[in-house]
Amino acid sequence: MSMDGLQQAKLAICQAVNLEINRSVTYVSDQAQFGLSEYWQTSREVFRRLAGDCEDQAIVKAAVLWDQHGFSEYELTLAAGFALVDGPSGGRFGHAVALWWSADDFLNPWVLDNGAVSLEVVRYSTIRERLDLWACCNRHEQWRLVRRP
Amino acid sequence: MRALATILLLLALTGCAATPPPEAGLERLPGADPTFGATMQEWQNREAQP
Repeated sequence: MSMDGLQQAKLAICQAVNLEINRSVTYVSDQAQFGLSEYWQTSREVFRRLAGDCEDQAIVKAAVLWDQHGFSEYELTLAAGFALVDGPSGGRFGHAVALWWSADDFLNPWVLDNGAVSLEVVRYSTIRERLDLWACCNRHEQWRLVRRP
Repeated sequence: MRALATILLLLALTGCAATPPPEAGLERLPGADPTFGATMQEWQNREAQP
């Protein structure tokens, strides 16, 4: 199934929001900002501080798409797992992104990342070998990803 | 401007986007899940506060 005009429009909105939040929310680790190894800020906290790590950037992207662009909490979710990066400073580290589950292919959502794996909004299948997502959630529910592209 | 208005209207009309179906490969994750479930649930609780 190919993407219709509405899906193309939604993808353009995802790309614009991803770019804007990556520019606006400065990456700061939870350890540096809160003295904690892991802390998921609420969207209100991120809007106030404009600083956070990967999940905080994903949370703001999701909040903007849910609350300002009419995306439902089932087509746009947060997702967490592990990223794998090559090179001397590479390895496997915890990572979080936002996912848009476009109607044309529910098995292969679009990934809104902060550049740790991809700066562009791309299909999960295209970066699957470098991004291993385990779980996703919205503001009310959470799921395990039992099948990946 | 007209294009943006059209997009917003379309989004409003189809705001009830489909729930990911079972074949999307998702299953419910208990809040006690030691990997990410507990972290997600704790965030959901704080996010829901006014």
